[in-house]
Amino acid sequence: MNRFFFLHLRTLVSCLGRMWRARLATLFTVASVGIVLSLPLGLYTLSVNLKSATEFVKSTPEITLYVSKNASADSITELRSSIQQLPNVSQVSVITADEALEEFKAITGIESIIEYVPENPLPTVLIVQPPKSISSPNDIQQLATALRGLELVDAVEVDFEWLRRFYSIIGLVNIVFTIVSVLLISAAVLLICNTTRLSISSRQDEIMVIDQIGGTQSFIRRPFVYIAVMQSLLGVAIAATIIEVIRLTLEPYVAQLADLYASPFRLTGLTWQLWLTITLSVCVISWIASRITVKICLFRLAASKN
Amino acid sequence: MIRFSNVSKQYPSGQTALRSISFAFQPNQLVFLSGHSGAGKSTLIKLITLQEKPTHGHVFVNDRNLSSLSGNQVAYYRRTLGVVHQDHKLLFDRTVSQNVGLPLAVTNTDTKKARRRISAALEMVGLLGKEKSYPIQLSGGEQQRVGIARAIIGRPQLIIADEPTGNLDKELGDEIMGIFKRLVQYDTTIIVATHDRHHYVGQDYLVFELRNGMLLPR
Repeated sequence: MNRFFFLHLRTLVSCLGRMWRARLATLFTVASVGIVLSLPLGLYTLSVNLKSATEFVKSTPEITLYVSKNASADSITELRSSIQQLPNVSQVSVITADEALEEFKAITGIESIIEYVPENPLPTVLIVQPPKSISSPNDIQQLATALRGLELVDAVEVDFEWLRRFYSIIGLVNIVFTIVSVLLISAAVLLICNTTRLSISSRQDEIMVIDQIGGTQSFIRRPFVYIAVMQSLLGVAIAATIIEVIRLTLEPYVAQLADLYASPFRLTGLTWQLWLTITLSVCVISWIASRITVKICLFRLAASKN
Repeated sequence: MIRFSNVSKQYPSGQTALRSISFAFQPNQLVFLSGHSGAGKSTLIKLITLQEKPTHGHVFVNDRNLSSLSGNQVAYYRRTLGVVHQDHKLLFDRTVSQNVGLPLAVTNTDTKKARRRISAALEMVGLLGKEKSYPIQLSGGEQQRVGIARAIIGRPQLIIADEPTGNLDKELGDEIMGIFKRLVQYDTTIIVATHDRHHYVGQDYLVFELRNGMLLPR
């Protein structure tokens, strides 16, 4: 076991030394990987923040119930309490016909004309606020249908269209983000593969000599795989730095904008658990990709040698 | 120890390098492979080092059929050999010490032990004190001696040298051959491929002479 660790430790130290000796080339590769990775990760951060922003937006959908004009004040109070007890209802507020008329007068400024109307044409309105857990248009539609069936309710109004459009846009943005992210992560992997290929190409003589003196395929392959994984790790570190710098730069502006809309929304970064997952995923992907690349290149090298 | 049984080698280009070669010899001696350029010496060596496989026949080293080896078995087999090339095949971005110690790195030998063995190998070829030099700072003869040190450091049972004096003048060539002649005393079999007859003429060495891919009768 000690021998095994010693072998890997020696390879690690040798690879770090090699990367340090070729630091300019390493810097260029790592910076390229970092920038390429920062784009999908930045999009992912944006997507997470967008999702968080919609948490605040989705508290606004309300269901408006128009109560029958014949309903008495007591029956309206009874209706309100029965709605309040429904499981998917957070809050119910009442705007009486008189309150609605006063509001209408204040907004439109046609008080003098309304004086000629024999009776108040406006109905009493109940504003039903679903809880935050009920967010999708389908859930709200179900609640509205249930409310429509209640006695004394003449009409139910929900502005589903804007909600549907909003969720469609969010869905589309997420799909675009996913496609772009997959393409950019593929680009980062290809960059690592190409760097590995060039590295093998420039070290052909060394590979030939090691092969001749009894180096196994895994011994020959190991340094290339180590370097690819280390380059990916450094690439993730650079990507994380880029994203954090951008986030910190934008944070006060976003906070200012959110305050203008009276929203508690704040721009947040990715959690350390998520960064750990991303780092491990990138390491595994680059390990697999570099292993395949090295295998193909060594096979071609052996074929060209013969 | 080494046995060629009816071995032929034809390259994909159609060129026949060896034709029905059969011979055998006992270990712990210096053996010369002689012949003009293109006679098949290098191909025969490549068959022993498993850089090539025979088209027909079998090669046996220590009663092991080399055709049966595959994957890592080839690598482990090569660790039992020491190979010296005409063009040295040194790594020019590594020091003499690193070049010589390469076979020990492959076998993951302990650093202290490796250092001792590198010094011993360099002492044997007369290069002690040049550990930190780079190959580019050495003469052709010295570079060849680094190649020999690398070949002997793994204490191989079999050392194969392909035209080791080909790029050297007569005096340096004799010096290199002197090293091989000394190494035989350490229970090692050495096969030297050379077209230079003066290394073995008039001396009591086993010589196999090749001509146009065929072995001439001794």
